[in-house]
Amino acid sequence: MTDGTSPDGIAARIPDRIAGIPTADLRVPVGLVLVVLLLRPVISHPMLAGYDQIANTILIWMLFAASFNLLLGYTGLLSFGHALFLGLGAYVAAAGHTRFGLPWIVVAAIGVLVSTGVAYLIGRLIVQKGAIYFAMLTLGFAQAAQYVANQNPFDLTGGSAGISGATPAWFVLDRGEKFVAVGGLQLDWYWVLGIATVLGMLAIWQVVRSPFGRTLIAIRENDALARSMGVNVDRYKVWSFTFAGLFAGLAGVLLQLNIQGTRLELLSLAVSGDVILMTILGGSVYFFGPPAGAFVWLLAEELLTDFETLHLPLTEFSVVSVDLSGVLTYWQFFLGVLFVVVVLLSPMAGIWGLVRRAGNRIYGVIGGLIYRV
Amino acid sequence: MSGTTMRSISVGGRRFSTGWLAVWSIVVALLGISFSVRPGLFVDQAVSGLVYGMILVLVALGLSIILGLLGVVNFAHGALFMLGAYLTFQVMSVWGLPFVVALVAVPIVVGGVGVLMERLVLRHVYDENPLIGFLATFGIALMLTEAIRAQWGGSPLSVNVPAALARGADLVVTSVAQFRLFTVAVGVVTVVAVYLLIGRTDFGLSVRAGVLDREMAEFLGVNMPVRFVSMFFLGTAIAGLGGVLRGTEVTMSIGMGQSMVILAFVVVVVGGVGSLFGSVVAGILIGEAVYLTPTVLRSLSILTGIPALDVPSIGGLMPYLVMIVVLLVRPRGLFGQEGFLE
Amino acid sequence: MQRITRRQALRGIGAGSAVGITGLAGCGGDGGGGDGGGDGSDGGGDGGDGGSTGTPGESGPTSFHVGVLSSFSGPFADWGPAHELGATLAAEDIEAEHGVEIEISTYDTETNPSAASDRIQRAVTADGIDFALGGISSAVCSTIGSWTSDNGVVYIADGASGTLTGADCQPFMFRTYSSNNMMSRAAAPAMADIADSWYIMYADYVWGQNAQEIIGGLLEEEGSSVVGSDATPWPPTSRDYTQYLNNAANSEADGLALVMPGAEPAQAMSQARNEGILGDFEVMVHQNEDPTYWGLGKWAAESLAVAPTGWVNTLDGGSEFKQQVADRGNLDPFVRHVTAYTGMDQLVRAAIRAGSKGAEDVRDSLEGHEITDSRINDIERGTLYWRECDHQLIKPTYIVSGMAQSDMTDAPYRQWFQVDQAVAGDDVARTCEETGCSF
Repeated sequence: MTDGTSPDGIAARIPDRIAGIPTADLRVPVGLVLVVLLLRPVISHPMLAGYDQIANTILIWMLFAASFNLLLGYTGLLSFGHALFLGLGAYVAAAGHTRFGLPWIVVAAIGVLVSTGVAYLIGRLIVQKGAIYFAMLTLGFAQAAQYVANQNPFDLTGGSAGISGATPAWFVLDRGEKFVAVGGLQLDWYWVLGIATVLGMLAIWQVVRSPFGRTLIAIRENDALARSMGVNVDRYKVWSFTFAGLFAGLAGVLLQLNIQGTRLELLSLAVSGDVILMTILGGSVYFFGPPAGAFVWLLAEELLTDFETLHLPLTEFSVVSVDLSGVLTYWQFFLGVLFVVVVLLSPMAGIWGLVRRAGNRIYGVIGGLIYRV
Repeated sequence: MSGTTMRSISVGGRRFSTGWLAVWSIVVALLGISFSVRPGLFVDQAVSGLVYGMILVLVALGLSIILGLLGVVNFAHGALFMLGAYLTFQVMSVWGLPFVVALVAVPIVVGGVGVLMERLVLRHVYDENPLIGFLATFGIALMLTEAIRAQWGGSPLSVNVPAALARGADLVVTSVAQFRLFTVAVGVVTVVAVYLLIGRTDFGLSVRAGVLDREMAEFLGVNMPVRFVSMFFLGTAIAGLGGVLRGTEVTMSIGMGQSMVILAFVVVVVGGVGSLFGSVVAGILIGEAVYLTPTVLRSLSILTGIPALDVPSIGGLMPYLVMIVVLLVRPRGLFGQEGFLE
Repeated sequence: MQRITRRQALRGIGAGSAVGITGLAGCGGDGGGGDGGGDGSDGGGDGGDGGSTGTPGESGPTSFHVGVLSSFSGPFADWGPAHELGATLAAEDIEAEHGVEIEISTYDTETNPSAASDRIQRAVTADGIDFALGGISSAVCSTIGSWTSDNGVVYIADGASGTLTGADCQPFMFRTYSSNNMMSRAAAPAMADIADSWYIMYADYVWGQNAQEIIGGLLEEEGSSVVGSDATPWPPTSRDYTQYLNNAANSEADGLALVMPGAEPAQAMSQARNEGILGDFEVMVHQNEDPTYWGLGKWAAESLAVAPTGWVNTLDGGSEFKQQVADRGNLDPFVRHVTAYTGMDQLVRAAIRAGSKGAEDVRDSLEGHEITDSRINDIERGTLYWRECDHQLIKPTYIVSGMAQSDMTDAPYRQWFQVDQAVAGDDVARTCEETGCSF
């Protein structure tokens, strides 16, 4: 606007304190709760995925991507093997439950602990190396884990078929719908999962907000300068890696319950690669970036793989219909194109950055119109 | 774990650290045992390992040239390797032309595709964060892979080795297909040619100068963009050549691009980023490790009678094991240069 | 209003296209809609198959939604359309005979259990299929079977590992393909006849491990010996079999058994030929499927000495069916067309007989049922019935070998293999106790 009093963005319009709590402290928790509340209804809409089970997968991947971003966005470390921790959590929980008959809560805790412990050990070994060596070493460890899992040592991992049927008695399945039976009540699994992911991501948020997290950002910005200021950079990196492994392990444990078992693919390079792509696509500099990327990625994959005919403008009132099934079996080609385009145009801010900017601009336009009138 | 902190031994006037000596003695002993248990098989596997190593060298060399000289992390390198293999199929199986045509023409075509890639996309990311280049080439790799799948289908294909090279060559304890020796020969010639080009010609000198200080080189009248493009062409053409050789002997399949680019990165990292010589050494080392480790294990299992020692599929894990071990001992790879992409 | 620079506009387009693609994408596709069942309103519907307890239109179901899960991408990409065509032909025949409506939805398992698990969940929860059939890899079948039985959906699997009707059997899973045990028991005598010592290369997952154990044991029984074996990596990330071929070539074996799925035996044979060692062996391929060779060439089929399989297109009978497949399919008729036909045919007929689509009813209707008045009996002559104790379809198993190249014909469809033996299912199937299956 020309009058100089244009709003600076939506953020400037929100008061600094709400009910005595600083707004900055509320932003992420409220955002997370909103995500959980809105995700399933939105995703189930026929215009999007059309069914609701995918919301579970999206929540888990959001947590996984957030844990990965602790490494990439906040510490500046690129890991090619983050699937290792997802897989470890899932495999320990599934194997513990099916091979040893332990109660699920116990194996879940063990799964997260194992993931964390392995992350700490590997971190100690490799964080001092240069960026590309670090990345390749994470890849090496993940591939080694996948190999070992495929070998099915002592019949623990199920080889290439994975582990099936790791379902505790209180987890009820009915033609695909999942419920948690607690004291006579049947809770929708989605809400239980939602609470778990919100808690997990709040924990990540706390880590990031703390002085520890601030130091990580300083390390990301300028490693050498942080070192020269006396920060023990390697120790911080190790702990960042450990936390990332912890939350990825948590995601793994939840995923195992969601699919009632594990698959060898959980340890694969494809999963490690996917989380990198989601994080970058979503925007690694924002807390909500990687979750947004996870949402877009999984939704697009869901829509594009079974997509056959494009009806314009709507399925019900089709004026023009284009049969894309032949071309869209090669949807990954277009994904590649999209990738090149997005990376060249908006590399670090990703889609979430674009959304934020678009949101601010829309707000500015609307505000301007309102004040004009 | 450097030589200075361990005791060292003087052998023939040169000092070696005891650690390395011990490791190499054990390795040589194991190889010797394996040879004695099954000489014919050992030689077969050793030659196969050398052949595989040569393919790794070709692809890694191309990647190392692009990475070391241009600073671009080219994730599409594997897809170009795969393109070379599939074009070979097209030339030999679909058009029925002789192998020689494929051997000469396909690398040039693949190099052309590489140049196209560089001009259209990579040119814009040279001065940015290397992650950007990596992601952009990842997108290109996706596009290439799907285009190949659209053209040739998702099922694995194969061609027949040219008749002239299909006979066996006698190696005393065993007979080895001549095509394997041919692959090794082509690999050696290529490596030597690249070394001569980069190390001994004025052109190569100007490229190296430009890498060290681009601004200064351009000041002196060196046309850097032309050199960058030609190095990119060279790197990708070599990958295409690797594809021709590999595709003819083994197979063309859609997953080979992604597998090969990961392995090429492993080789480059083991050899040390920034060192072409390191890539060559690492490639051969890893190739032999992949083939000889199962052989050694099997020989040990025969000798000791412990069946659990026999793990034939461990070959797939060896590149990563070698990388982990090497990087723990030598954090910059075998011949890595300090400060490169760190 | 801020001046919008070109950079910002381009960024906006970038975002817009990203959002737009997903937005537009939402306007289409109702989830994997495949070939539909047409309007089944032509023709009367009282010709039930022998022994039906009710005619449709009375109390039974008149419309069905069946999910076909198979590989439509990756190395087995040709197998998926074959499953789909076989199922479609069966659906058309039943629609004409009973006047019902059958909708088919196809799902890509990508030959990996992870994707298969996602697809079957989607098929049941989002698309609401009544039953499912398909799956090529036994690991995939096992995963689908586990989920469908947990969630009350009947599934007819097309994998061959003995575990699917053995240790991993599931109450609502049935299996069409001849089991590894049936095929191995049929093949072992023939193998022992042509070579005294064998080297086995087998894919390192449940199907391959299962077959290798059985074949190895049976060969010893027949007086042959297994001088060595190699587990080839599964999933096959690099298709480089030279290491294992080297092992085989350096052993004293006269016979080479390739226990690998899909196109892998072709790869191994091609590499063996390139190394110049193929001629040194009598080659056996376990669970032979023709497309493996069609891409490679007649020389490969000719090299095949012994191969057990579920069906081959040079059998007598089913000429009309074979012609239909040849006309409509992208591949010439091979075993998967028949198994998919069988699966679809039997699922729907069982539901019609039972008068309901409920999982328990369909299962009870299938158990013990002998296939009599169906086109299947023309395609596969012999006794076919669903065994109650393990849900295996007991059916004839065939031993084939490659013809001489001069005998091979390509029109109207490729016939490259001759039938050496047709063994009745009961003669080679395990006893119920041997399977180790209990529901």
